[in-house]
Amino acid sequence: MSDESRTATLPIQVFDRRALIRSGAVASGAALASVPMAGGRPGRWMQVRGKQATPGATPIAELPLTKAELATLRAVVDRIFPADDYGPSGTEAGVDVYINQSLATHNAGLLPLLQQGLPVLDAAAGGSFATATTDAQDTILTSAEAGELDGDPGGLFATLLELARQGMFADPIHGGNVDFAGWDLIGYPGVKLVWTEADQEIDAEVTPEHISVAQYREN
Amino acid sequence: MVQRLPATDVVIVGLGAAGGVASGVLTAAGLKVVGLEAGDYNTVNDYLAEYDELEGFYFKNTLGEAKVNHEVPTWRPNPSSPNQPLASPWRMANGVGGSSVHWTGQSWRYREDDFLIRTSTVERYGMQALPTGSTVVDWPITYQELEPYYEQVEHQIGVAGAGGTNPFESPRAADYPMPPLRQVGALEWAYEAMSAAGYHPFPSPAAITSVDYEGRPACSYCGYCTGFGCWNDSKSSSLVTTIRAAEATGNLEIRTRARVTQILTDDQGRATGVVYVDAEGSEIEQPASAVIVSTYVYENNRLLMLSTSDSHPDGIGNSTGQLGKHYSAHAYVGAYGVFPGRNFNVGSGTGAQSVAMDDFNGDNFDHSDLGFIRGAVVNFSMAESAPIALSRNVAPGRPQWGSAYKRYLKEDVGSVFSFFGQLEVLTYEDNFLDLDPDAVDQYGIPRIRVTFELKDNELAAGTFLSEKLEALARDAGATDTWSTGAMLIPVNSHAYGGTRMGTDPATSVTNRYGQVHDVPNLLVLGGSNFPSITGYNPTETIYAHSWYAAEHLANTIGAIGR
Repeated sequence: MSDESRTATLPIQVFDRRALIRSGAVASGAALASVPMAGGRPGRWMQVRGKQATPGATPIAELPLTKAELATLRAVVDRIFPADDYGPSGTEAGVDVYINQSLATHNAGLLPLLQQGLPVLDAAAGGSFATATTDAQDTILTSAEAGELDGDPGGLFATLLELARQGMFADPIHGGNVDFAGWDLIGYPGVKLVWTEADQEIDAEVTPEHISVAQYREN
Repeated sequence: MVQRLPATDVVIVGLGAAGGVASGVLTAAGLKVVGLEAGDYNTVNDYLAEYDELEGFYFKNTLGEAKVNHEVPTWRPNPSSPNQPLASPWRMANGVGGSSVHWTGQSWRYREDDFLIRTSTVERYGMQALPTGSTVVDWPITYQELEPYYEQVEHQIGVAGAGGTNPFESPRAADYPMPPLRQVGALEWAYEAMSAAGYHPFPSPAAITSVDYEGRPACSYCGYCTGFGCWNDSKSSSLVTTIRAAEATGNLEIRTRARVTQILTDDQGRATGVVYVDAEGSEIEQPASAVIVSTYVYENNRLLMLSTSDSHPDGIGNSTGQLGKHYSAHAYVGAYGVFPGRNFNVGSGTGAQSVAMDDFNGDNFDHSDLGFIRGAVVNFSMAESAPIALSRNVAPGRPQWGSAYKRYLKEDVGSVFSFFGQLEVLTYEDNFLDLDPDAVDQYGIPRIRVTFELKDNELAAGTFLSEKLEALARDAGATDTWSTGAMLIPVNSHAYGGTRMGTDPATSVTNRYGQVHDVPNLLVLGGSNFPSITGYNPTETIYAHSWYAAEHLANTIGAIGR
């Protein structure tokens, strides 16, 4: 059966896009142009700017962690991401800022676990995890990772690791990944809308563009 | 006081993949259609503003905020278990275009054998091959009947692929209208690995423009595809295809932020319209000659269950107790391998930019001594590995923190590749949906409760695939390999069933045209109708079947309409 006869067996020809486009009823959808749609909300298009945006999370007035809890958290994220030849530390990248803010918002459900668990790390360090030696800190975290930490409320290390990863690698609008430290570490170029064939090759070197989603949002 | 509006020909509840295609077919036939959509009419500007791995996807699921995020089903593995927490993120969307806006775009035709699953299994292996408690049936429609509609979808909505490259594909009259998405880098490597192992790889079909097509530009491979709306109009959603066409006819009126609460029926049990709540909280009745419910699996079932009346005391479509039954959802098998020093560079593109093989799908391999039936489509995809997801991609036993972890992220994280199998999960008597007696949404309306677990058949298939895919990785030269077995996702963006299509009202809710057996002017559309789930992604078949069903409605509404 030919294509024509097959199509003709259908009683309904639903639409002819070319005719619609000619009539102007459908926009061409060209890249980097506002696409008007019937019934759509007014466009709030922002042109892609050539320079790097300066993102940062909106400060939250009431942060949930106490000073002591925050000190312990900061020490933990600096053992998960220590300053070294591969880049800045967790706190230098704002990971602790991200975590504290997220515990007031989308990670609020994890706050009780941290409030219970961070003092357990202090107790394991004989009073203050933050002032213990880095070797002692690593020993405590290793036992927590292995599920052997006395008083662990359950899943403490896995939760801290996940939160640290979110802070380090989420878009800088959330308070971490300061100066794109996390994205540079993992080789992520940023919100890059066009990838060429060369960009997608195995072992391709993709230039860091440091583009945050902030560039595509209203001011 | 419910405000009653003038009647229309057809009211469509939910303008996603199914309802969006139906709107195009019905309006082209000259019918007046009102489309009620719970979400907003978003534009590319709205989508771009959410290109954020953390917020747009993992936590806020922004596109689902209007409604569906507040009614996530509950889950228990079996009827004697309490509800269990869900481990996977919720990925449904509201908005004109529905989840066709944020799906990955893998666009598959099912195979002839998929529509005849019971017959072909029994013929080849005997009745005893059907697992105890399973409810495996043939479809009430064949591949041959649906084939012209697949072609319409591929050409008019726009699918990229290479017909004839999959030796297991069923006969097609026409090739795809666009070449496959870019086959590059790691995909070429995966193709070689699969070929060398004796399998039959081919480029996956994708409902994404690989070249400029019908006024939409070619995909730019940006990596914000699964879970995001397309900034470039390249993804073949119903929004940028059939819905735009429907609007251009002047016959479609879209009302956004319209939350439908009930399907109305008369004394004879026929549908008379729907009641919805608008953005201001007003209750409005929209009468219609025919009603289409196309709100995804969970809400299709919930709306029918909640629409009780004297003529439908147990909910619409439930006169034989079949509503909510035969639920299933895809399970996944992942196999990972490491090539130290190699960067596969799979963070960009789309999950539909992929190499697949059907060697372990359906009944394409001999199951005689395997202890299970059916199988999985296997993919190696450009994984759109955004940075948080990539940072979790560490081989078991390797450092997860400290300088050694940072060194790994800097130098080796790109060396992990993965093959994924998407597993066909059979339907069973005790995998089903009902209304949770103890859980409600933000309006106090009961949520759907999913009762679902993987059975021996699926666990055996998962173990088999794990072994095969790990061996494939090892043969390709991976130093470390690991795999997952069958991973359960009970509340799933690939969910099916509850309004099963069939010829016998005693064992099904809808007929081949999606009509509820005892309410012929009510159509249910989408995956809730599917009698079985296959190894393939569902949307092209949802598009094609909705086209077929809407065309039948357009041709018969004079006889069946109220």
